Amino acid sequence: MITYDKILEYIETIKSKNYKAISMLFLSNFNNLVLNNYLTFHLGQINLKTKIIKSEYDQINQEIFNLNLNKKIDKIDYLIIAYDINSKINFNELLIEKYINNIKNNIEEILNNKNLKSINIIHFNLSVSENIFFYLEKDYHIFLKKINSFNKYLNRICDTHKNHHILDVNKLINQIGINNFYNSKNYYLYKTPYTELADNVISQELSKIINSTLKTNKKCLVLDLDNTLWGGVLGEIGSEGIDLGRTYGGECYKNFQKYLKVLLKKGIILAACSKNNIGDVKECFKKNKNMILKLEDFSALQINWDNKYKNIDLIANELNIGKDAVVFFDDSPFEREEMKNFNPQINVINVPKNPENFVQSIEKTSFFYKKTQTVEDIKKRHQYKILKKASNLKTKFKNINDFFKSLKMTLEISNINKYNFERSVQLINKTNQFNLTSKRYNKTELEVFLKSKSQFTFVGRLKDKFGDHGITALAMIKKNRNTWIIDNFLLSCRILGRKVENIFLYEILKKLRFNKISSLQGIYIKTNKNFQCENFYIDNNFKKIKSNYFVTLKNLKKLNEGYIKIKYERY
Amino acid sequence: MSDIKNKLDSLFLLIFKIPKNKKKTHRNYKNIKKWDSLNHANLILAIESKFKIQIKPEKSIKLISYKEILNYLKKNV
Repeated sequence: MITYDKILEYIETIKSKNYKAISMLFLSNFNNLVLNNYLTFHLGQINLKTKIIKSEYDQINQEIFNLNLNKKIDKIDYLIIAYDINSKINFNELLIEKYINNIKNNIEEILNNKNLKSINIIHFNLSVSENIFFYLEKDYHIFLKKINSFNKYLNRICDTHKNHHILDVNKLINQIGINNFYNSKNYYLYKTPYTELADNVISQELSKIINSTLKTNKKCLVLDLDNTLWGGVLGEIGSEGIDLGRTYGGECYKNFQKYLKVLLKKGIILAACSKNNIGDVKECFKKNKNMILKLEDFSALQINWDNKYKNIDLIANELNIGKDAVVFFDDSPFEREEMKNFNPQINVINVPKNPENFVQSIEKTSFFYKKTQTVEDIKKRHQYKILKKASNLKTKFKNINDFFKSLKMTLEISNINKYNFERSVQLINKTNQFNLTSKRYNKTELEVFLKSKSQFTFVGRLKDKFGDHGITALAMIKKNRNTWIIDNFLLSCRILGRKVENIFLYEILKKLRFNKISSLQGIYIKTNKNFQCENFYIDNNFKKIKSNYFVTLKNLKKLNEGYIKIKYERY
Repeated sequence: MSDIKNKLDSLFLLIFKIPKNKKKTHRNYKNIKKWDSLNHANLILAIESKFKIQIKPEKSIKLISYKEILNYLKKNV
């Protein structure tokens, strides 16, 4: 574990770095200076530069209820609120009731403050220190009950308010043990309640939450096999000889596979990249009874003797995802080094030597951390498989239009509504390649957009003979003075290559014409990743005037791509 | 010895922004503006982890000048 003096040194070095800056206000009823430094450190590890707005210690009520907070809101991206109840209360039922009600009041005040709706707010839930074990049994139960009921209340708030998050202190206490969590000496001396270790895990968890709000989550985990999913080299010892279950190492590998199953359920795609004979691997997954993962759990396989840094490109291509969404996990330092040098966009996990630490090494990064799981996430893995089937099919047809026809595609179009809101936000923030303007909207901003009178939104859900691809196309149209412009137009790369984008645009133009709009302006904003849609508007009969694109809706040219059926839903 | 002084100076630089080579023997919590109660905690915790020692509570509230800290470290490290 990194010690506090090293943390202070590291923080100095962040100042000169060109990292993305975020600012936060940390309100707590204890001295949070040390915790702040740990947090700055952990956010630095994920390339964020933290600015902490100063607030007085133990002044939560005052900050929330007086104008101070409103003055500060403009400057902050995150508000953290932490109560450490152990430091405050001489236990008795009435006092704790009063105390918790006060916290609830503060939260209600925050919920009512309109200015705070666009800020991410992180609440510490309430926990108990070891002191509680000395209480009378009856009191102990009352105390626990009150705290649990408050924590449930907090959960409800965070479930129903998209910008509210929980830092689960109790989970962290379970993780490192209560005796390693609180430091009474430091509390009585400096009003810092936590140990170095606790400061470390709390700030790590906070940085995960913050990272998850920035939409930098990864999509795919590419795994090595030998000495990663099992112990030993399969080619040498055979499918019954590998170490999986039974022994110390074997149990570790087995447990790691169970963890990977959990990632699968979260919607993360697994792929395997290993220097092995494919026949051996297939046999091993079939025959070894301790194997938790099945071969079908992997959406892509590159099992051969080529360089892994080349193979991983094939995996990204096959799955149609950007390289920066790929994470590489391999026990061999050589392979990791080669990957870093020759394929630097890939995220490489620093795999520890002992397999019992594998899970931790992934959890430590916030690559796969998610607050809410959309229905799309659960479906996604299935969809990548559908896509794979479709690309296998492609080779059978000589004429591409025949191939498209055979897919029996239906595009269902609706506006952005409560049924697809979560997914829409996700699409707006995650889509990089086929995205004309790359304009990002967070949940609050999108809500504001939808409330405006002069706007149209469209989302498209594509289905074909293999299944439902889910909501994969989105457009936002707004009126800017007297001109209607396409503010956002994007397509998930999962469904590219079928001309869906042209048909989606054509349907939008028809709809706008129906609403008596005579002309429309398109914008293309170039980024590192969206060159493939550079000519999209030109290809669709828009006229380029200076750097913008215009189309008159009166004489729309008919699109003759009869292979997609259009359905309108809830529009 | 110079190693102890060197390490302590680096902490005074990190926490109070006082350059390493500047003379500090006369400096204390009264004439260092940044040395408030919060930063005192910061300093003591940093000293504890830098020198891998545990300072007793009753001692740590008395370590309020550069000279006293240096003397304490010379005796205890």
